Amino acid sequence: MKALVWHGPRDVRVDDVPEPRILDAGDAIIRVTSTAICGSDLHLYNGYIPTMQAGDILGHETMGEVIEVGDRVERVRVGDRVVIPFPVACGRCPNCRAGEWTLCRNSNPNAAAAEALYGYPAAGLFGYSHLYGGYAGGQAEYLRVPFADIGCLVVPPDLSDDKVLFLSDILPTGWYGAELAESGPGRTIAVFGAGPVGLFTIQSALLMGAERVIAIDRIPERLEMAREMGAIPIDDRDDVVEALRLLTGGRGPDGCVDAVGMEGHGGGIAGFLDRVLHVARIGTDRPTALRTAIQACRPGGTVAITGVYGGALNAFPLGAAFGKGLTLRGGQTPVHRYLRPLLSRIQEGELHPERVISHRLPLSSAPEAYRAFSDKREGLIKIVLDPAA
Amino acid sequence: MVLSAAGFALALAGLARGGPIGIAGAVAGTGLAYRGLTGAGVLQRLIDPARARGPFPAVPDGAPIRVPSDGMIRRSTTVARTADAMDALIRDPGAVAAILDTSGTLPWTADAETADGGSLRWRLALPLGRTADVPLDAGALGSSSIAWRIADGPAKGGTLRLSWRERPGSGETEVEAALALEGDGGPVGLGPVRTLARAALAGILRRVAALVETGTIPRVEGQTSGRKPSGEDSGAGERPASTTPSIMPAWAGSSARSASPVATTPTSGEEVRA
Repeated sequence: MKALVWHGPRDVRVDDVPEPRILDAGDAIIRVTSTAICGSDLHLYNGYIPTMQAGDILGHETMGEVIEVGDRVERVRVGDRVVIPFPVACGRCPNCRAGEWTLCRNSNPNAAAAEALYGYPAAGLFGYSHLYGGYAGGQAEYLRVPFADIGCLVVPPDLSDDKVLFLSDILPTGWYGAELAESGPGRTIAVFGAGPVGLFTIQSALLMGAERVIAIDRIPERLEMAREMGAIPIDDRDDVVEALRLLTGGRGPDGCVDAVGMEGHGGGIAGFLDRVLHVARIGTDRPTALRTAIQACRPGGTVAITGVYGGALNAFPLGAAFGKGLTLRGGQTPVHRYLRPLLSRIQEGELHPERVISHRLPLSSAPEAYRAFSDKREGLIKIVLDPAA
Repeated sequence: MVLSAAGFALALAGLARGGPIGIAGAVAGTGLAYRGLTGAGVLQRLIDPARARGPFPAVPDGAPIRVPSDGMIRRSTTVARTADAMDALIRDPGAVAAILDTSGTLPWTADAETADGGSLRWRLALPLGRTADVPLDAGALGSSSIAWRIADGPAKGGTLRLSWRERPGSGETEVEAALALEGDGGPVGLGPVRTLARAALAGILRRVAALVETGTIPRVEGQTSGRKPSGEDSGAGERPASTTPSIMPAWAGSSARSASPVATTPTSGEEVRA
């Protein structure tokens, strides 16, 4: 089959690889009908996530049709149309039972490495390095889904792929960010990063009743889309802290969401240092957005982190967070928790996830799409790949 | 703080002076500085091992909590199953072999093989193509425990013990793995073995949890990838026949299915507020 294979930093290719097969009786195999490139895939593409190996197949936003199931699969049948949440979860460990699906302790085959790095391992993720289990990803013609009874959301036939594909990651992640920032009536929420996750955070915060949502980015088409969705746009090259102060009557936003993560674009000495450390692989993360969010958030406010971070931060303003009594929350989104409620909202017409799609491309175009997406060229916001095209 | 400053000053003065007296002064100064910073002197730590580990040994009237230093290496976990499920798991030889197969948790690979009479053998693949066998006896089942004795080799007499205890009213069970090492460990000694044993115990407990909770151990060996022929990851171009997993005991099928009806999409709309 054709699959998008990681060969090294900024080197991905569409290769012929063996088709996946059932390895465990709880597995299913799906024929991928749609798969998307996530902003967090760029961290892998640019080589900033450790433990990638040449030959790894990328992709964690995937849906398709079930073509084979293992003997123990009970809730999913051949022919079902399914969306695959990006975390692999067993559904039976204490963490899964508590709804913390991305902390599943039974799904990461490489848990020892994760435990060494983080103290405790987290769940396996599709196509997201060997630290997260080394599972093959879904930017391919076929995908093996472990724990298929838990890892497949069967979707109704009347909803197009475009409407439900993003249940796999970015729509729940956007919702999760808005929820972590305690979006609600009377509250002002600042969303750092108006990529697809940021855009879904904006929609979610407004649905939750936030009084005002402010979007911070520098890419014109993203800011325009944020404005269309009801947010107040701010160019991040301005003095963001001052702009937010002005917009909130001097109070500062009640909640800030960092939807950027480890590859923030920052200016000044800190931004330059981040780049040097990052390129030299001394520092793993460039927390530009997080620094600004902590600085901008009102005293007693909440900073939610849904952008991906991998390691240690340089010049992290913990003093500001401590001094202002901020609450910091974040993590990989427990996607399974939100699947059915958000599917209902899509069916009821409250959410229109397909609006963020800017490009539809065949899988064969993925290498060029990654290049352009990483370089923020050609107005790319969200790319959906079709393996059959 | 005053003690630290005085110690640093004495150490610097000693280094500047040089000679036997200067070196003695530097050593004494370093000791004073250390005592000032940590609240305990080097000699005191040597004399009173009880104070050797705690980061704040100077806390008045409070003994620091320490990892037990009885020579045992211990790890523990909590599984979301009853003690009965653990009893059933441990009575399954296939499950036991899978639990003790510590591949992927050590710098080497270790395969647990069932030998004659129900005993087990750890076969360690060491660097430079060498292998070493660690024979284990058949395992002595106790009340909520099982223990294997290392039957031969430099660590002969050592014991690996798994024990479990249900948390009342929770439906969960605490499982502990403990390794008592005997002998001298051969030419490398027991030090490196202890370090590696901690990783091995962690791997054993992960496998216990995965098996008793889900009936399987997650794996990616044999999955597709873009890596070319040498590894297990590679394969032929066409879809190969599906494989039957080696670990599928009867207890896992029935009990795992009946446990915790976690739905495919497990939450209801109430959990998302709007």
